[in-house]
Amino acid sequence: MVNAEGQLYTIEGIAASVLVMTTIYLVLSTTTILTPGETHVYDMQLEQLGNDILGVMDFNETWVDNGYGYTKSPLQNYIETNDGPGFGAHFLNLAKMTVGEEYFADINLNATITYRTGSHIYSYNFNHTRDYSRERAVKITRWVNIDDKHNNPHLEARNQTVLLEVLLWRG
Amino acid sequence: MGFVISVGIFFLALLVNQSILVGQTTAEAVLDFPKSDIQDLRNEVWVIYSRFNNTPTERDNVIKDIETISLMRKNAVVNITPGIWRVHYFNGITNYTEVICSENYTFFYY
Amino acid sequence: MNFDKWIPAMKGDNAMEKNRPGIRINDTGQLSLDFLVGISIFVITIILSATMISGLLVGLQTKHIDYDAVAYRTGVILAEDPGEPNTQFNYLTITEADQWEFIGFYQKDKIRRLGLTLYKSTPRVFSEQKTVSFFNRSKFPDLLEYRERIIAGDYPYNFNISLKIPKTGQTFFLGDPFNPNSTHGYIRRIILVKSQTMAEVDMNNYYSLIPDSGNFSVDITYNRLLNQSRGPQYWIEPPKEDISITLKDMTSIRNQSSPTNVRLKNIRITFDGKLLSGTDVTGVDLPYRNFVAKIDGNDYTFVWPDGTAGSPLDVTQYINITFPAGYFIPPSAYADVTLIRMTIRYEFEPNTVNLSSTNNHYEYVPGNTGFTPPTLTPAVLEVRVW
Repeated sequence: MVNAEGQLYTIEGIAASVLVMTTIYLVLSTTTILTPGETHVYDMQLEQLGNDILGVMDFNETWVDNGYGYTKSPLQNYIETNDGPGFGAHFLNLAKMTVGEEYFADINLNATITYRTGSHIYSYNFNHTRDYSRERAVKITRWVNIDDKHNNPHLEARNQTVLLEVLLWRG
Repeated sequence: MGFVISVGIFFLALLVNQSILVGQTTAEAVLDFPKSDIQDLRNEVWVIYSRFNNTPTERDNVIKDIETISLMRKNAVVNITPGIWRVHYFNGITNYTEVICSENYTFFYY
Repeated sequence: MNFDKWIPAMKGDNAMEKNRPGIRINDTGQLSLDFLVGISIFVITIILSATMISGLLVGLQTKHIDYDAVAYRTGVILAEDPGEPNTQFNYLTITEADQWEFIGFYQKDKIRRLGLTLYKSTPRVFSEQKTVSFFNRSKFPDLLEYRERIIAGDYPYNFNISLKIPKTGQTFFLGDPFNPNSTHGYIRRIILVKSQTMAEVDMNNYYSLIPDSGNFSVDITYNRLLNQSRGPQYWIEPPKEDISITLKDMTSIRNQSSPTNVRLKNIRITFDGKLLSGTDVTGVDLPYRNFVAKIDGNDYTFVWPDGTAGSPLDVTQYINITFPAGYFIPPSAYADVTLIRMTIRYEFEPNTVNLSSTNNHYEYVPGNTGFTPPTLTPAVLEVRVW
């Protein structure tokens, strides 16, 4: 028997069913929890590469007895002789190593040395391959211990530890 | 009954929606954690120990270098206590303390 | 004419009117309060759902696992972790089960994690023995076993790991072949590989005009090799590395008045140590150890304890022995002995050589002539996961 009673029930039923169907559909279609926008992967890979290279440059190929009781690493030698271009070339050489024949965009760097004199901190630019202009860059650092008999005009003549900071970017 | 169930399902959908945008991406978490800083600091403390342990003034000078530069340039508090060689590092997010080596080359550094 | 029956009745008494379909215009069916409440809740919910659409639909755009993160994690396990089990350096009591690179096929369940560095304090400095053992498929023929140990997790990732040492050109590969143009997680690590040591002893330095000995010894003294001030990157650990000793120019110690060449009777390996109780032990044989020596280009197996089994060998040019890594790990019966020194004693027939007991030792230590110390060579490790 068709009459006008039960309009409310009908409308409630339709509304509830539409709501249920919509929410079930939307919930089921979003069951993968994911991390959106992995734009930081590029940074992570570049930062890990830079840290690896500085870590590799901080050990000399073999132990050389120079009378101090320790061996100077390539990093220490570059800083003690203030050889910025040599450091840059060595760094980029290591950055080019790959297993296959792949091409990676060239890496540019901007290195500074930070040192302490008295109670103040000073920095000077050690090497840069290109001027940096707002590209996406990462900064990596390494502590380097310097001997007191060094030839670097910026540093005091004492045993000290300086911070080598390298800004890296591709392109 | 249908009303109650649909409100419940709606609430769950709300949770799922909010959970996607909450939390860090994996690469951000990797960049946040100062793994290289801590490894470098451990190695540097060992270098100071092996080079300057016998000359206390130079040793303290070098330790002061590291602590000052770290505070000014890397925004991390570093505290190295010679003698017991306890290293403390704190960059605001990560807090790290370790005793690196003792006076007679015991092995737990390795 | 009566047209009343064709005009719809306007009043509600008519039975036909009561049954007429359609919406009636009367005062029943006015919107009631509960309908108002229900419809308003419904409309508000629809509006709120619509504002959430944008967040919910994010899930429809990208559905992929973060392979780069998995590759990064595997890269860290390989490049910065020494593996499990790995002993902290302790030359006193290392057994084969303490180092994963010496655990063989039948006990491989003891290997929890595969890492290639020397120690946890030497990230990025690889042990050559661990590298060789890792890429050796005979220990883990099934790639699944690698996956459990370097890529933790239940998802069946495919992986490919490659290592290249540009200076020597050596390359190692492991895993499934990959398509360079497909999406995969990737990480590249620059590392150092620590090479193993060897010694070339020039026998010209040991000829004596007053011969009173037929033996020549090479001493491997642990506390001189494990130089604490040099650190793990430059020290030498005999139990964990290849030791290669070559005595060359053997004719220079020949007894000129003897009709024969230099004749080698035996090569014995003994160790000196200190027991837990404090007593010293010297000259204890390392039992049941056989080894192969290359004499003048030919291989000879020396079987403990008799060596050449009574038939001495003529030596005219050189004697070369390479003890593989793990050879000097003492048998478990001697696990409580503090090792001080290993001695490799070459026993010659006395009247064929002119050696003096004051000058017949060679110390296997960096700085000695003919000794090649360990070198750190840059290499590149690439990890791909998909």
